[in-house]
Amino acid sequence: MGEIQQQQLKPIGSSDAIRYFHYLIEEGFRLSYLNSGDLEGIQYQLVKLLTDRFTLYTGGQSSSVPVDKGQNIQQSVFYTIGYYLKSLHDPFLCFDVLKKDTLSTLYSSGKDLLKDDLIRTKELLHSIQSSRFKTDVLAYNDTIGEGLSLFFTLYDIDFGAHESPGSIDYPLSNDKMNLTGIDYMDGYLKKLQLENEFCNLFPQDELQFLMRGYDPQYKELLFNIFDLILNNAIGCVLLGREELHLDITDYDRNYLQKEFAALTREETDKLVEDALFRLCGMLSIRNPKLIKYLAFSVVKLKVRLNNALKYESLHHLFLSMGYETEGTIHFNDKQMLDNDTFRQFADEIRECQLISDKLVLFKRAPLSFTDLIDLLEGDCFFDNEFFDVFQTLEELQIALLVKKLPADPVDASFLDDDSEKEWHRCFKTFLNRIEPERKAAIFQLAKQIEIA
Amino acid sequence: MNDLFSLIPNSIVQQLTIKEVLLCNQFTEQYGLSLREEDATALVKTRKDALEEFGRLEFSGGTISKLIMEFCDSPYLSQFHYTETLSELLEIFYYFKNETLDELSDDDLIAIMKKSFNESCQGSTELMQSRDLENLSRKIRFGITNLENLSEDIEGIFENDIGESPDGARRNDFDDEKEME
Repeated sequence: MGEIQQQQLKPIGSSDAIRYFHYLIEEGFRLSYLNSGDLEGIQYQLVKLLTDRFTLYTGGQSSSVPVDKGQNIQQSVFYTIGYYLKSLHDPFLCFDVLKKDTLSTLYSSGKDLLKDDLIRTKELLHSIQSSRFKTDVLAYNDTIGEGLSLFFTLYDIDFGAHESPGSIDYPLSNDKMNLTGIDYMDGYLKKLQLENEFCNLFPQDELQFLMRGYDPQYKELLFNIFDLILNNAIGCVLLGREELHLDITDYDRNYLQKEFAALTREETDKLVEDALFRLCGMLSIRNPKLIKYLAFSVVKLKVRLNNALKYESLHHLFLSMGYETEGTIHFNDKQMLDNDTFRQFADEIRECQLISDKLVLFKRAPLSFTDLIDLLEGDCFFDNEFFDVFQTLEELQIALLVKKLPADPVDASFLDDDSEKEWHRCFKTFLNRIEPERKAAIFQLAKQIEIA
Repeated sequence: MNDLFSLIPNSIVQQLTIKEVLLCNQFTEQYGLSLREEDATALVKTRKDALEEFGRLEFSGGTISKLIMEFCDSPYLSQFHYTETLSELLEIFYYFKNETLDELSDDDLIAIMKKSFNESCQGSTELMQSRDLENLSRKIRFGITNLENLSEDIEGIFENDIGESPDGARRNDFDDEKEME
């Protein structure tokens, strides 16, 4: 009988705890595992439980709460109960539990489970933070460094168990985002750990060259590093390479285009699957979870590969390395002035009546590049004074300012924007006034500079 | 999700609240006040509408019961317009719960309402709402902790409580003018 009933149960897949709780009630009633008496009992208990939670929330001061807070508390209670029921991994066991136990007991069990999982997830984050790979991609560093930790500071088991606070900018290869609360965080961290494990199998300088090949401004972009590496690694295997060197040249792409163009979609898919199998062997990947994750990620690659072959645009999928050109200049900014010193210095400049006095102070101060930007944005100079400041700067400083402009630094046709900063506008005018040879040299220098 | 599977159906909330409200009769009968089931149902309907209108959520019958228990000994309450007055008090309560920024507890707000209703407003819910409770919410929004003398004119409230406010400054200017005269 159990099997027949199980066949009748609608599939739900990976679902949010709130949705899972609703699903159990609906399906339990539909399959007659819960009768109308059970349903009514659950509803009465929920009203009682929510009344208690409201009282706790207001410290016994108020029976009613604003609707947004109330809905939050309601969702939090549903989530906590659903979270516990999900942990049982068996809908039929859940029906029994819903009939036998009170919702208040289920809520308490859910809360205990959330507390345990919060500790476990926090440990997972610490392990990821210590095993992360070194890169200068801001979203990756900020998310792992601070954004994810914020979740553990802000997470509220009592009244916001379903929420996922924090600042998570770094996109994963497979992040469906259909989960919430600790469920989402747990899933995010586990996937991130697998992606890190894979990325750590490649030399760091290769990763950096690959990302530069993806886009010279890669540091500030939101993209998934794992995807880039996996695509090129599969590309290398498809090329029949024995050694996994991630660079794919125009010649390689032309070869692949010729070899694969005549194949059917199914044949291409099969070759990609085989390539993944070989890749796991070449990299000695034994972790079954990572193999499963790779197989899942490769599904996207198959679709993209078929489309790229169709439109002859393999260069979007299999990237060439962006090696450092000979003249690359690595710029390391010096120590910033501390807040008090900077404030005092900015005040002194503001107090000067004459630009000549301002410039004397300006030249004398040991400013870092960040201080220079802060000063330009700090109401210290006005109108034509900006031009005098720019005149005093060295070529390298001007090139650095070019890089700080919001538009593409190598494109002189900047977009006009009403909200642009005053120094931006003056700096553009300044650039347009200088002689073309010097301007070209400055833009060339800007291209060569890599800000650390 | 249809209503059958709604985890918190309105009918259940209403049922529980009506039951809770009717229990108050045991206490209020000594003052000659009682509610029939249809009166309780009407009150619960008023509450539902008020909660929706003022953007609040409540599942227990707490507020209605508190109002009944606090106001039942009022000399201005009679069985004749008991339900009607309770309805008005209920709407006023939720409105001012928001207007006072949830700064006052239910008990404190109801105690202030009762004092106004019984003393300065002599049983007029309209006066209580438009004068005393408006003054109360203004005071709270301006961060004034002295919540006495709610029946005074609004100008008077600010004169007594915040000397440094713009109104206070105007008052001083006016005094100076008088002295010059």
